[in-house]
This record gives sequence, C-alpha cells and structure tokens, in this order.
Amino acid sequence: MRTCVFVSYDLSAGQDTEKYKNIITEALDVELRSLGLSIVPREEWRDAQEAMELSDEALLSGLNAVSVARRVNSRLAITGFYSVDSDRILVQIKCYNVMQNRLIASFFESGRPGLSLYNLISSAVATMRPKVEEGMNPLPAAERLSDPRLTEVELLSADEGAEVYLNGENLVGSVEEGHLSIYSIKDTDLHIELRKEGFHAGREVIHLGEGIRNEHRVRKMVRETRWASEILYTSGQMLGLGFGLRYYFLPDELFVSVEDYFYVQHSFEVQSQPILHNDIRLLVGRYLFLDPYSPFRFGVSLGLGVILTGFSVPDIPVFTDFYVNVLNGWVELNLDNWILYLRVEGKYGIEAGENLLGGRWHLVADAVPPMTLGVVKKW
Amino acid sequence: MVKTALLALALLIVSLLLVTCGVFSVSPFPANLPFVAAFIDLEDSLDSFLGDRGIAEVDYLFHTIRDDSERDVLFLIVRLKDTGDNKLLVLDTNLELIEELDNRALGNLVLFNSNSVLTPSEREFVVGLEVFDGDSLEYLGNLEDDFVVPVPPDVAAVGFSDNNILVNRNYWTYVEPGTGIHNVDYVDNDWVGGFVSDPNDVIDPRQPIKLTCDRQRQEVVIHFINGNDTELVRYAFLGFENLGPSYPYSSTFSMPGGMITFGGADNPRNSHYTRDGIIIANEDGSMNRYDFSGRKEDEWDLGSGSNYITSFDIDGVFYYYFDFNERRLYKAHTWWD
Repeated sequence: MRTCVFVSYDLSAGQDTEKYKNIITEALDVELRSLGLSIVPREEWRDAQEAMELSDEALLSGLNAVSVARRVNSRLAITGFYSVDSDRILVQIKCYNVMQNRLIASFFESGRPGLSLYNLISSAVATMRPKVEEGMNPLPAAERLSDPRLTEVELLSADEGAEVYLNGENLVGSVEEGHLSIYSIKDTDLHIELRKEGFHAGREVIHLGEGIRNEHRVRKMVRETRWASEILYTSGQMLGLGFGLRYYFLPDELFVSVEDYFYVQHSFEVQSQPILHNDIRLLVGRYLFLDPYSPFRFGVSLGLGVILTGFSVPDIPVFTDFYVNVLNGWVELNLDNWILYLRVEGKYGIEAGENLLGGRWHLVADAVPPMTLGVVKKW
Repeated sequence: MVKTALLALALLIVSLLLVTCGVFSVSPFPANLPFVAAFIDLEDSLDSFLGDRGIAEVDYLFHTIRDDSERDVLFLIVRLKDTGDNKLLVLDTNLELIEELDNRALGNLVLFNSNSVLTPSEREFVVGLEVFDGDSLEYLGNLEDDFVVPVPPDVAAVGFSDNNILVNRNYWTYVEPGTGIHNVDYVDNDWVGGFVSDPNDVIDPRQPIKLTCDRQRQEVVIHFINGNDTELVRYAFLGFENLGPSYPYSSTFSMPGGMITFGGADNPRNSHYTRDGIIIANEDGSMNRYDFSGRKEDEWDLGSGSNYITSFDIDGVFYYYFDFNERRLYKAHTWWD
C-alpha cells in the first residue's frame, strides 16, 4: 500500500534542531516498511507539493496532506511535527486515510533526543498500527461480521482507478482490479458516484437487497469529449456529402463546429448540366436537458453559413447565398464513441451579393426545412 | 446493449426514409438551374431607370423574334406605369446586350425584317416607332418623321414580316380602342397599310394580342385572350394576306377554358407558341405545356420567391426568363425532351 511520509515539521525555537527532521523521517520510513507499506519517494510527492504550491508547514493540515497524497496515488498520508526544548523532544505523528479523507490514527509523545528518539518512533508506529490497519476499511471488521444489518456490496467496474463516493461526498475507495467492496445497510438505496480524471462523473442509485452480499456492475464511465468529427447527409442535397469538425468548450455540452457540405444538383436530362453547391457553416451547439450518460439527447445550434454555387456553363459567375442558421434542433442516439443524430435546420437567406435564394427561408420543395442525418465520431 | 442497437437501427431507418423520399430530394435551389445555358445581370442597365419602383409599378414585355435567317433576337421592354417612360434592351441569344434605348415612344409594336422601312433593300427591326438594323441590331432612327404608323402605340401589336414569303408585308394584330373591332393589318415596303381581316365586321369577345409566324410549318398563329383563358388560331400562309370575313374562325384550336389562367391576368402576353406545344406561363414562374389539342403535357416551375416574364424560341429548344426581383435574365434549355 503506497504511503506518503511527509517530512516532520520543525517547530523548535532554538537552532541546530534541523538534524532531527531526517532522523524522524527515516525512522518512520523503516518502521512503516516493516508493516509492509510502500513508501512514496520524496521527490515524487515534492513535485505534487510544488504543483499545488503548498509549503512544508501547510502539510501539517490533514486536508493538504491528503490532497498531495491523492495526487501521487497514495492510500495513506503521514504527517507531523516535532519541537526540541533543551533536553526534551516533543513528537506528533498523524495518519490519514486518503480515500476516505479522514484521520485514522495519531501519536503525541515526548522523550529525550538522541538514540532514544528511535525508540520513540518505533513506539509511535506500534501504537498506531492497529488503528492504521483498521482505518483502511470502511467499517471495522468486527462490526462487519457481527452486524446483521450490513451487506457487502461488490461494485464491478471497467474503469480502473475510478474513485467511488457515497452521496457525492464521502470517498469510500477506488476501483482496483475491476472491483471495489464496501459495506452498507441492507434494503436501502446506495447513491454512488464514480470520479475519474478525463471522464464525466457517473452517478447511480443502487438498491441493496436483503442478502449478505450484493454485486452490482457499475455503468461504464463516459469519457469527456473535446474533439469530434462528423459525416452529414442532408435532404434536398442528396447527391453530396458533408464533413464536420467539433470542438467542445464544455465536454459533451457546448461546442463549436465547422461543417462543409458539397453536393451536385442535376436533373439527369440530356439538356441539363450539373450545378455544384458548396455549403460552409460555423455553428455553436448546446445540449439540453440530458447528461452525457443518456442514450438519447437533444440539442440546439445556431450560426452562419454561405452556399457557393457554380455552373458548369462558362461565363456564369459563382453565386453566394449567405444565410443565418437561426435555429437548428436535433435528437441523437448517444453511443460510446459514436453519435447518430437527426437535425432539423432553420436557415434564413441574407439578401447580399449575387445570390440565388434571396432573403427567405431555405426550404426543401418549398415546404419543409432541410433535415440532416449525421454520424459523429468522438475522439 | 441489444435494446440500444435496435433503437439505433430504428432511428437510422426512419431517418433514411425521411431523407430519401421524393419530397426531401428536391433541392432548395430552383429546379431549373441545371437547365440554365446563359445568364446576364441587368441591374446596371435597369437600376437607375427603375429607381425604387416595385414590381406592381412596372410593365414588362418580352419577345423572342425569329427573322428569316433563323436568327432569334430578344426584345425586353420595360415601361414605368407612372411616367409612361420606356426602356428597350435588345439582346442576342447568348444574352449579349446589343442595344439600350431610353424614353422612346416604343409602344407595343414589335416587328422584324420589316421590309426596308427606312433604308430600302435592308432588313430592319421595328419596336414601337424605333428602327434597328436587321443585321447589327444597331439603332437606326425613328419612324415618326417619315411614316404614319397605323397602329396606336399602346395596344398590343406583336407581329411578323413575311419577307417575301407572301407579298413583302409586315403584319400585326390588335383591338381598336373604343370600338372593340379586331384588326389584322399590314404595311408594305413603302409603309403603306391595309387590312387583312374585314375591318368592319369582326367584333368578338376574344382579343387578339400577338401573331407568331412559323416559317417551317408555313403557318401563322394568332394569340387571343378570352377572359382568363387563352385561345390560338392557326392559319396557313397561303391566303393569310387576305383573311377577309373568315377571320377569326378558321382552323381554331382552343385551349380548354378554366384550365388555363394567367398569373394575375396582368400580363396576358405570356402565352407562347412553340413547335412542341403551347406554353402558358404565370408570373410566379409556374408554367404548363399543352399539345395542340389542348391536352396538358407537363408543367414546370422556375422557383418561388420572385416574379418572371418568359419568352420561348419557336423550336421549343430554349426559353428565356427575366427575374423581376433580381433583374436577371436567364437562357435555359426547355425541360421536355
């Protein structure tokens, strides 16, 4: 079990007491290793400490110590201070459960500086040991076994390393090797929340049965999407295809997209010529109502665009139809890494430049707004 | 997972049905665009003349006239209702603008190959009282000083010149204002006129508005307005120069009443004779084509959102349409095979 041992802070008023810092820290390392704990190298947590801009004194705060320890994936955080006064040394050591964010053991004792300091540290570790072992579990083992109201909840998850919170507040552990076991009251609803960097927090309510053991497969967490690409197919523009690129300012919530749709208008009569249209637009889209875990989602977007029209007949200029995407609305099927959507587009032409459609709504067959079928690949 | 897959499949199928059914396959752009063969923007020519006048304040006349060398010439006449001022644009079939004339006494008379009105032995076009060179289409001068034109300038009088097919005459038809009498008149080489129809007899609810000459079939077609309907009467060249009392009942083929109405009935000249049938065009861009028995063949739509005036060549190969709103003129292949 990874354990962070923060250097004991020197609160002594006099000088020449710095040497005890290393003595205490190294003694703690030795004693804790004898318990089977893995000590996080000092350089590793120092980097995290500097990144969080915390001083050594700040690490005396349990909250800060736990925060730094969490960043280096440590399960325990041990911090403390000492103070030397003439021929006495006062030592305080505290041990925190990082996942549960709570103090599980503490030691406060004085002794003589010198070789007896090693005995003092050894005594401290021996004193805290049972509480450390006990504190690593959500509930005391004895309670678990004896309390008939409790059930063991086995959470199965594919999201390795995800932290599991109860009621959105209390950290109860993290997923390791595909599972996490916790204890809770039988026949109740358990509100769990999974958190993992780069993923949307996943919330579930699990109803616990009467058995002594409940197994539940937690829904796979949804990765936060920043970029996505898409392929478009639009009514009234059947001889063509569109491509788009999205960037999400807020993952899976708010995005800006650039779309380009090229299509040919052709009657296939002998006397007709193909007309080439290219529709470029910039849209801002926002999802409404439902979170990224929902299989169906809704959204709206708006923006600006221009359709360039070229004739294959010489001497006819390229026409430009600028338009405002007043409002698009879409419904989508939201899969793991893919989205399939159907979008209704409200496009209103701007009377500017050499245009063909003029200042009016762009309608298919003069009756219905264009509809786009889109396939989105989330990156 | 299975449920999700089924939902995905259902959504996909519905979506594909929606986007592939007929209505959804029609482009938002006008359906005639692929048929466009040439284009000219006439804003520069018309903007200063029209000012900020709306469509209702302007009359447009548009004719494609074929001369005896099988050349088509386009005449677009724009008339301001408030001032009576006219502007004429003369274009060739590539939509090259050949001539522009402002504020002339153009009237509605449009003739071609008018048998040497001003310059003997040369072919000329006449629009209203203005004369254009038959080859270069350049403006030559005004008839008024030299001839008394026997047709009131404000009546419809689109005619043709036989140019030696008959007896070197220029023909036109109109209803005499005030009397309701139908006239099919002519002038000869010396601009001396006469009557083809009996001037004293013919009073009919139908109003003749234009003559179309089909040299290939050796026929002359008279277009009539009859209420909101149009009727056409065909005559052989032979004997046309002296219809006499048989006018206008000879060889009549009539478009079915009630089926055909003109857009707003404000521009009844939008009936067009081609060898492939008769086209009745409305100002909103909708057009119907009929065969010579009056049966509807097909229909076409230039697209919504504007107003148009159209003109067809006699072969039925090309047509020309002027977009009032955008002030653009298009040449397009006809939509039928």
